[in-house]
Amino acid sequence: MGSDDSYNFVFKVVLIGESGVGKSNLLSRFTKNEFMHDSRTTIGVEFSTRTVQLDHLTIKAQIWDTAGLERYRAITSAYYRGAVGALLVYDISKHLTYESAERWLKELYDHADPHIVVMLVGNKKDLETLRTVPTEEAKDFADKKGLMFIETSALNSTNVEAAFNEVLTAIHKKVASKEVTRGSISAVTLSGSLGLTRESQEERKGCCKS
Amino acid sequence: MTRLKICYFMRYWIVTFPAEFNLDLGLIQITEEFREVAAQLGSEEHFKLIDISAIPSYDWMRKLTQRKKQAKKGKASLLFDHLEPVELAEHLTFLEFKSIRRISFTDYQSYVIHGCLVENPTLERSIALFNGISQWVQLMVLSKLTPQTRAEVITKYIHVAQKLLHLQNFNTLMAVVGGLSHSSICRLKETHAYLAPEVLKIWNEMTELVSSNNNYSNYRKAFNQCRGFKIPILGVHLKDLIAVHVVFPDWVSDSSMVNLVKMHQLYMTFNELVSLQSVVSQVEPNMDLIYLLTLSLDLYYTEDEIYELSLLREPRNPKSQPTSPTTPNKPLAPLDWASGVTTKPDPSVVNKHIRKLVESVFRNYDHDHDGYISQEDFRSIAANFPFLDSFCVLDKDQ
Repeated sequence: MGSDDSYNFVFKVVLIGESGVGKSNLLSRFTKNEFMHDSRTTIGVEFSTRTVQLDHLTIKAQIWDTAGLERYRAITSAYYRGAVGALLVYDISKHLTYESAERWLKELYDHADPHIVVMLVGNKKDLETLRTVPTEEAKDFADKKGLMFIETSALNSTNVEAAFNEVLTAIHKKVASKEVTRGSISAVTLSGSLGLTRESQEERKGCCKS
Repeated sequence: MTRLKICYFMRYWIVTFPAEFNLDLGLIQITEEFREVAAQLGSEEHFKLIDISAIPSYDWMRKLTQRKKQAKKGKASLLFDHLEPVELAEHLTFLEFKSIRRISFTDYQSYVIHGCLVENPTLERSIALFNGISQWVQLMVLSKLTPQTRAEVITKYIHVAQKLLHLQNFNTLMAVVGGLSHSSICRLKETHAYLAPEVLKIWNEMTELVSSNNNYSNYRKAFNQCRGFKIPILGVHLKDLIAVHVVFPDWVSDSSMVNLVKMHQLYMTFNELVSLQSVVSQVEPNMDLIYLLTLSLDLYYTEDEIYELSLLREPRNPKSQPTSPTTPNKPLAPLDWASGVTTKPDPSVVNKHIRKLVESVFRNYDHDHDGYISQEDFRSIAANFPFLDSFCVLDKDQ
């Protein structure tokens, strides 16, 4: 992937939530342009990165999908490590998947960076007629917990770009802000010397000095 | 001619995947209807090709427990402290293999299509075993009171992991390494100080091997190079199946042709998993040890409870706490969320295991056959169940 050669930041973002809420669909929608299909299959299907431009910076979003692994505890807890963003996905037509949001949140805060940016995502917006989770209820919950909130449809691509871009922007804001100093968001991995611009080096100084 | 080709194709399917033609009722019915039609339209030859009556029974795959009688082989220690890493690794592999080979193609297919467990007891049990092993590893480490003894247990499990790699059992390897890298263990700084450099080195290598970096590329490379008996990390391949299923459409060219690329991708993974049913395990298990392990792994704790225990062993250093105002408030009330597979143990099953365990213990430790075992032996066996306090108190006199 040529676009990977130069970027200023790599942000690790995890997709969490109950099985069957459409995490993989959201991801494949977002990364469709960089979808890689390895015919040798030894690598498996890899479609988890996308490079986006925010202002004058190039940000590589490394998105980790837990679909299929939700129940393997020892595997999933390792996924959270180093994550600076998370999309907590539920299905607007299945209330149970929304009720479990609090548990996922707790688990996330247990394992991930305390400054992690979290967005509550009500997926399957296209199933409006089957809705069991009112938008307002979810929004109130998100406000109370200090989460971002959006409703999406991976089926018709509604708000998918917006969801990821808002999370990436919020992460970048946190990284750039003065309040986040050393010891937090430590997992934001800057690209090595490769492709580093002057600007990104300044960014790096900004976020790493104590 | 085309009809005959189709019949040969059916034959190939039947011969290659006999279990499905024995277990999948829908498939059996369709095959029989197809055979009827073939009998009406074609010749004897067609009819013979689609015979599924000679397939042996695969009923064992459905049964959740089935145990072979094993000839008693001398006395064996049932103490974790006395067990060699290789013994533990072999017996864990026996349990893993027994559990994983029962998962049929239909079970995998159901998981991929639903994206979750729906009436899928074989897969559910395999996941429960995986989580059970991870928790057991954590609890055994945390059962020790001093950093030094905890480091000894960690060292032992690192060696178990090495042996598991040697046995090419990647699933249990992942469960053990996953347990050791869980926050309840990796936060134990004092304990880590007692680990020998070479142990830390092996630990790092093992962690790297099963790391999710580059979509588990290290693991995939290692797994593909293995020959003979091998057990994959099931979760990784399930994730692959779900990804392929979601990303590719089933049909292409305006729904007129099957998407061969997708089918080929699915086949590669399914084939790997289904072929597990036909491999032979070389492990000769000691059934008493198997009962003991089964019981040890069935005990269920929440992650909160394990983490609390970890905090009790090595309390947090207040200085290392992040103090930024943006720190999200951690929910304080303990949630009764049973993360992962909640296998509330069925009391009758647990009782059965306990009965078997007690029999095993007496067979091995009741040297004079008087129905009593020594206090000393009892205490050391009870140490295998570090958190069964009530069990210890109740039974000490028996």
